Amino acid sequence: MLEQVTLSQAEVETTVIDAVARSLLLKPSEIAVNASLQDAYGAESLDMLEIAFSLERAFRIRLPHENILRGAEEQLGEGIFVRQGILTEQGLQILRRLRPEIDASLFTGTVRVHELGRLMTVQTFVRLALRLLEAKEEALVALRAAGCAKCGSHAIFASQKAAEFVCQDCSAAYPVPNGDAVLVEDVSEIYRENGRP
Amino acid sequence: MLAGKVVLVTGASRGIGRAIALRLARETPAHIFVGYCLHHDAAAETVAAIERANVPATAIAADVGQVEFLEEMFQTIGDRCGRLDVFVSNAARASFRPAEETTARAWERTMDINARAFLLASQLSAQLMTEGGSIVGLSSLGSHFYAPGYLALGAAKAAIEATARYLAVELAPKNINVNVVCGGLIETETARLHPRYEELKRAVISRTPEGRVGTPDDLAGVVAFLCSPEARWIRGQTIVVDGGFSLVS
Repeated sequence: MLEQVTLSQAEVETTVIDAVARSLLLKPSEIAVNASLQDAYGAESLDMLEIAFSLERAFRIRLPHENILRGAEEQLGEGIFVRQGILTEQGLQILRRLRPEIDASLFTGTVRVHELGRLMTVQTFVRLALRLLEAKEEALVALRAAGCAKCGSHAIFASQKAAEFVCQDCSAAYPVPNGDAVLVEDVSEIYRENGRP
Repeated sequence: MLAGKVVLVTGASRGIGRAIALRLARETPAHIFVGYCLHHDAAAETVAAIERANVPATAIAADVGQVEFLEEMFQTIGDRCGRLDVFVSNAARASFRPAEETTARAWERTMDINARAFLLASQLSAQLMTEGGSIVGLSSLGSHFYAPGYLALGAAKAAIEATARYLAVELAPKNINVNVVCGGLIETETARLHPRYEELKRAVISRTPEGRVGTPDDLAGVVAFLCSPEARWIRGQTIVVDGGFSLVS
């Protein structure tokens, strides 16, 4: 059976709120979608990891786990986005585009990389999940067009159990897009759109 | 030593857990399950390294702090192999705060992820250890001594050590051996993220008779021994593996 890969924003938001509430031992009605999870609810790194795991399972996606700007710098050049732990103007520009759910005024002046965790909200997870579901669907379309590398079949489906695509004919499995790679590519694209090489 | 045996190591994508999984792979078990939480690529690398040792391996993503996922992991092992012989409970995660800032939730979550996970996973392991087996928990010196910000994890590790003593007695009739390995400072990628790691490392080295900090392999060798038949007469013990640091500090 063909799995529906993409979900509506409302469906994703409900799932994210439930996961956040469960991890933070709160009721879903107590969660404000734009509130900083760290400042408003005292979320710590262990909570963030639990939320991330729950969302990876719920949506069968792979969220980014590395420092995306650093990952992009490995491709584009060191020090472009972050210097001595402080975001450069280009780094701030990227984040204003990449994280539209955050008040843009927070991405001005001196912003330290280690402070970015404080800007995580329900909306951040919703936006990330929607982006990765979109990437997942694109990858599935491309995989079907190319056919299974093992048997050539085009009957490839998104697994309803794991973050992978499965060939119906030979059971070959293919991982869904890696969140780190997807976001690093997004950063690179914004960088190019900003007129950089 | 582990021929025909099925092994599960949690937190095995990186660091100490990975070293333990690779050390156990040298004993040529029938299968090693690599438990991990979010580091998919690292888990795949561990699986590949185990397979290079000609041991079949499978990565299983599971957040051991969430009961449903913990149960799912053991269900998968049961479905795949029908048995389990060695369980190494290495996965750990914690809230690091001073005592007065340790909240009820931080305490609860740290206990869930570490101590409760060890108990529940041991219970689930025992159900699959139909021919006996070995369970090894991982602890650290923070369970015995003070370390800044380590209250919640230190208490959870102490709970693991106590839990192991009870499990060792009550699982002995099923021929299941339970022990704990307690490490000092171990040089891992995660440890190096500590903002004052180099300072901490120098302090530990200066007080360690061996004159260095521990490596993941230092712990892995002891874990492997505790999983062997030679360790059958060691029951419910916490083996301190710290190069002598705790003797002179």
